[in-house]
Amino acid sequence: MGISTRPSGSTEPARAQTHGPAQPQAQPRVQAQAPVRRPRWKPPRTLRALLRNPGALLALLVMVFLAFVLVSPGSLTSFDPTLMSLPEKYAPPSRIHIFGADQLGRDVFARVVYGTRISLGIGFGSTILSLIAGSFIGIVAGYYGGWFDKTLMTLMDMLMAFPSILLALVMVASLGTGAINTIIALAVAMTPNFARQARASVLSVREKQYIQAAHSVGLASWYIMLRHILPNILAPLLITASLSIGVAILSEASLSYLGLGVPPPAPSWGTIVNEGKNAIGLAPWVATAGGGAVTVAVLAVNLLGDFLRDAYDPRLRGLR
Amino acid sequence: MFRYAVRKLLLAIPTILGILTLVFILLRVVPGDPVRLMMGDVAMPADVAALRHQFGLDRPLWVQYVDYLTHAVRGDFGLALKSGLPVIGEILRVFPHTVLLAVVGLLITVALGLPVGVLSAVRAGSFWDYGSMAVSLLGLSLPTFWLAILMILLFSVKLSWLPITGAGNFSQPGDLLVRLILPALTLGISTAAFAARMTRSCMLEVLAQDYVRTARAKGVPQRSVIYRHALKNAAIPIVTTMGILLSRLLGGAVVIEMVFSRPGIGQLIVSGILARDYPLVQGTVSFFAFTLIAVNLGVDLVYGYLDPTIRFD
Repeated sequence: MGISTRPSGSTEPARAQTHGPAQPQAQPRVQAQAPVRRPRWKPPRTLRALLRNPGALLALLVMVFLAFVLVSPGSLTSFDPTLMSLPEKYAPPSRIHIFGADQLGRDVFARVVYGTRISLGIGFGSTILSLIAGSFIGIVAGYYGGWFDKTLMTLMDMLMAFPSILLALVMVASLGTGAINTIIALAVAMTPNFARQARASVLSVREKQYIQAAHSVGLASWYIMLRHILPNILAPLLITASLSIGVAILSEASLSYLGLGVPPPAPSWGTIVNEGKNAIGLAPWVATAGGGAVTVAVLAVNLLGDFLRDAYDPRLRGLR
Repeated sequence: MFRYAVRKLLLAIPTILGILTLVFILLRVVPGDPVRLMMGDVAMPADVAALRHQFGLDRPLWVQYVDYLTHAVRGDFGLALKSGLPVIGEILRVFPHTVLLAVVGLLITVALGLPVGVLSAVRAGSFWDYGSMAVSLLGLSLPTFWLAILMILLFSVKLSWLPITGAGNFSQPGDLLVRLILPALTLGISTAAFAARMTRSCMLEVLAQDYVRTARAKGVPQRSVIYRHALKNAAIPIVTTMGILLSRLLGGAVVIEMVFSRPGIGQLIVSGILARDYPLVQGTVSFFAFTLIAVNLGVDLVYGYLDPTIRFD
């Protein structure tokens, strides 16, 4: 209870930590202590850096556009993505069918547009889920230490030994296909990475004075983990998450391509490529449109992720 | 070096047991009934029970676990459902194709990724650096299967230079190699993007070290600084990431094999899942894990050889 009225011991160093020169996105941490007036909020450095980086700016515009498509696909196309029209089978791109038609005469553009929701939804959903699960495992393991930590981390190492696509395949094999199962499968494959990173950060934060201060005023462990440790390790985890979204979108596309993602007739970008593959000589537009959508989305996400990482810590430039 | 190798070998044993356990947990304990998945929703309860009995899935979980473990360590993964043949036989039949694909893919990755990465680091901030890093970012963002299809479209469909599918036969090496070109190139290109970025950042780190500055200060020629001072020291972190690289390569091979309809471990796993051939999936995944551990062990040994300090911790 006492934390909001007597925050100075625990939160001041925390601010010093999160307020470093290149980490402006860690700000919300400070809002908890209303009585302490902090200096006026400076125009965010990240925003200024963004305006100077044409690649990242373009990527941001693409992401905003994709978010719009995701929310309201109907405003871009009047076609139904699952409506078959056999006379138009493999119709080449034209004014009516911008990306042509597929083997069942369905409008490929509409399928790509409606596929945004599935592909990006699963990509973002699984990343967020693995971020939460991984941070939880990492924080708990790092905080308690001992055999508990060892067991959890050994498990994570073993999961990491698998290529993530294989792990996702194994999960799909036991859970079955479908949107939710795909999200779970990809999340399981990505969780160890977050857990490892979260744990490493916890270890460096755990011995800091503000954590000891929190201990000494008798705060509960869960409260320390949630309000004192998590906010201080969150920024690098979010960077990792932004770089993982691309991997998640690619994995989802691979699973759908293999026929192990969201089952047809729902349009996922990977499914579209799969359907276009067999007619690659006859109707190359089908596979090209699906794969192009994946590439554009992943490229935008990666450019933004790279930008955020550089803004956060320029030393990490080029690291992947 | 010998003691280090023995210790690494011994440490691999619990890892193997752990991974086998993990595969067991993922495929059997996780909610979801494999027999139901295998037979579909319309199956009669009696048939489901019979199949469950046939696989021994009606026994207590720990009995199944011990049974699976004792058989798996001897390389016995039971019989495949579709073919009725031993799973291990199916695996060994296609395994050489996966190894060939991964090894040639690795060669292409190294031949492409390392020089690009080194050059980018040496000329950091130059036009070449930005260009190659932009291309590698594009490479990282391309779905492997799509790159494969684009290659097929260009080289097989439009130009008709190369065959589209199949892996050929080991008795005809020429045909084998021709059919390997496209898959290996696709795999190599997509992993090279990753390798180039990795190499660049390792190299940048080393180039900022004091001994590199000292070497430059005393007038050592640039060539020599890069090859003798920087590259040798950058080799250690680069080899460390080789484990990740190989894991990516083998993961990529899973998808590539499906696109090119090549026989292989990945193709076995995916077709096993699609056909709901559950023993086949479990055995192949376990075998895949074995392979990964062996590969990582090899990387560890090379690492110990390159960096003597690592042998004593």
